[in-house]
Amino acid sequence: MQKTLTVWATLARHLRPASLARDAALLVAIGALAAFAVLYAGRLSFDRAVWSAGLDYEQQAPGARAGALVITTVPGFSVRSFAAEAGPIDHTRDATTVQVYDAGAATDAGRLYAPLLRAGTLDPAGVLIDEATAVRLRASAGDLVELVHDADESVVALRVTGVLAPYHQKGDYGNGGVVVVPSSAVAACCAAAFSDQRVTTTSYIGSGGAPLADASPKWRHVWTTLSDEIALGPFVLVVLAIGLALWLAGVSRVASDVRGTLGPHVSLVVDLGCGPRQGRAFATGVLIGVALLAGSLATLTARAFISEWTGFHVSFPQVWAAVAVLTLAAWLVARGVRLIPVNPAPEPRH
Amino acid sequence: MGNVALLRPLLGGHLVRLFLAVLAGVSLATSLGLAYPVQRELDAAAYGRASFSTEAQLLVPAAAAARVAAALPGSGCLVVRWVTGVSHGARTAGPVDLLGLAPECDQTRTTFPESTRYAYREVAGDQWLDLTGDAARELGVGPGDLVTVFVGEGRPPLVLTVRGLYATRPAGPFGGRASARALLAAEQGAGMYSTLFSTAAPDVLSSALVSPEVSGLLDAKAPPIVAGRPELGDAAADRSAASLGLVRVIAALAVLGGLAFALRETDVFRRALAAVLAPVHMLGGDAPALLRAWRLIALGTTASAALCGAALGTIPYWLGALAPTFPVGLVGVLVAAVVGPLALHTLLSWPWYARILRQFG
Repeated sequence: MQKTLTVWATLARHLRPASLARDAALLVAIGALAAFAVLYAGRLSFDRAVWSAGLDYEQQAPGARAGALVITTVPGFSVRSFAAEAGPIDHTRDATTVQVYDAGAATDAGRLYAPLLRAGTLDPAGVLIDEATAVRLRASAGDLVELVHDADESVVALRVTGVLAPYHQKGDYGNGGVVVVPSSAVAACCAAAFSDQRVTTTSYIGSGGAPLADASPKWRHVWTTLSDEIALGPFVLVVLAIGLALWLAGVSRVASDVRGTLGPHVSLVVDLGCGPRQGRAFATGVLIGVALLAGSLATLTARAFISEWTGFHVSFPQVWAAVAVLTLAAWLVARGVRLIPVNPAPEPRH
Repeated sequence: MGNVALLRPLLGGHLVRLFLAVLAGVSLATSLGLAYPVQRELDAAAYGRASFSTEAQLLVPAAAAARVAAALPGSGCLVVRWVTGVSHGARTAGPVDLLGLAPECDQTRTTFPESTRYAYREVAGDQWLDLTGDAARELGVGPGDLVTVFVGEGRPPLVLTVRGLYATRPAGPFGGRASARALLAAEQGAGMYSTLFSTAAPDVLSSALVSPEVSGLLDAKAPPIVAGRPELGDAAADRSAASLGLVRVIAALAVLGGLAFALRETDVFRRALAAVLAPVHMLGGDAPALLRAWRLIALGTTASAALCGAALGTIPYWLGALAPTFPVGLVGVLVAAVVGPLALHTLLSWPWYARILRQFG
């Protein structure tokens, strides 16, 4: 261990910080396209996977079942900032789905949505909204929002008590949106919405609950969500391929530089009796560190462009997933590139 | 000068990589980076390149159109507006924003600027139809083809001959213009002109529209709304930026990534050159002269790669894979504006590079 630390300390003195910083800056610019492609192409799959895997239940069944938590899903709503608080700017989230639970089952509903909560709590005195809606409306727990039924334009003002992970309706490639409300909150305003043909009702059974006939386990629904075909046009696929190719080429160049910088010194260290493994580990660590830093900044840059110019919302867990993809790609390159020239083993003496 | 060739084994590989990296980076930046300006030009050309000054929303009975046109200042065009569907064989496009031009209309004063026209064949009579490039592509038609226009339930459709194709999107991708006489005859009713394009300034036109001479001829139910072309152009550009958000992101990041990739390789070459010249200097070689020569070689290589890359980057436009309804010649103009100075420099420098390269042989 001491020998390893000594070798690393020796090699660290020979790194050129200015050169590494320049490499990292260029990698940020090169990697932003790859990060964008990964974020955009994976956005729906990631958010849907998080949502379906995050709900806390054991089994679900269609329809309303006695003894189960019943959630009624009603499409056809919009959410907007409460007029009195919005000021002159109108912030609206169209294509919003409402998920209604019975006000008396708030504890069970709280358990169901708890893993998806990003902020606040489920409280029957208010509603939960998804993260993309919260960002667009600039709303957080404690703020008022207006829920509008698109068909008859009936409106109800509701207090936000928590923010959930991003949600996408099936077949919707935009952000969509979701509002989780107790039945009492929408009974008065939006009764007409429940006669919509697209309304669905689902019963959720938590752990320890009695199994229902024709209920299916959670993993099956998660699998269905993951295996849903996500339409990626050829243009997005081409951009994804080009972006990743650029990133890999950039990382490969940095790897080549690191090898050029450290190679002679590692050779010297090896000649002095240390194995090459420490040197290789150090160089790989440097490369991964640069890639991690550059990948993170590139992904945050891409996220800023997406938020500013497209209106799509990218959550931070997905940002870190994209960083992991880019870093993994860099690690594969680091493995493929022979970072340190290893001296041939000495001939055995006879 | 002979020493320049001596360094070829040490720097030749770097030079090849420099060429390939700049070629790849510039072609990427050109192909994807141009996508947004090209699409935006399609969206904004209807106002940006038009030759009218003012657009007015109003209602003029067809019977009074000639008198209104004569009473208004400047030249212009009264337009009947249909939102309908069009078809050609089994292919359909819609909704199409179809402008019907009044007989006394100056056809150059509409949202189909002459400079955006990229295909044309004269059609005699009133049965002609001009289409936006997107609509023509959707229908698979060109000048001379017959297109069926949906008129209304229970009415025979109108068959028109395609006359011109325009690289513009006046009100979305699908648009067209035809003779108002043809549309009103098919409608079999008293039609209304609803839009006026005019060369008169907005305030002059507003005053004319409220004058007793003209206002009495207008339908009183809809008071005229007048807007200047710059204002309408700004609104079109804003709509374009909002609808092309994704294309904008891809274009910006492609330019950033492509140019950074090329820049990185020039930096790598510079470092490799410095690493080679240090021992040359220690051995008594003329390092400054070699540095100058190799820098110029690198510059020539970079410029050549950039030119080839820019040319390669336009291939998706030539093939119609990107912005298929945009005239490819205009893409060439855009690219030339960017790489033109570089091309000139390269061409002027080629004799010198050729002499240097001969030293290698």
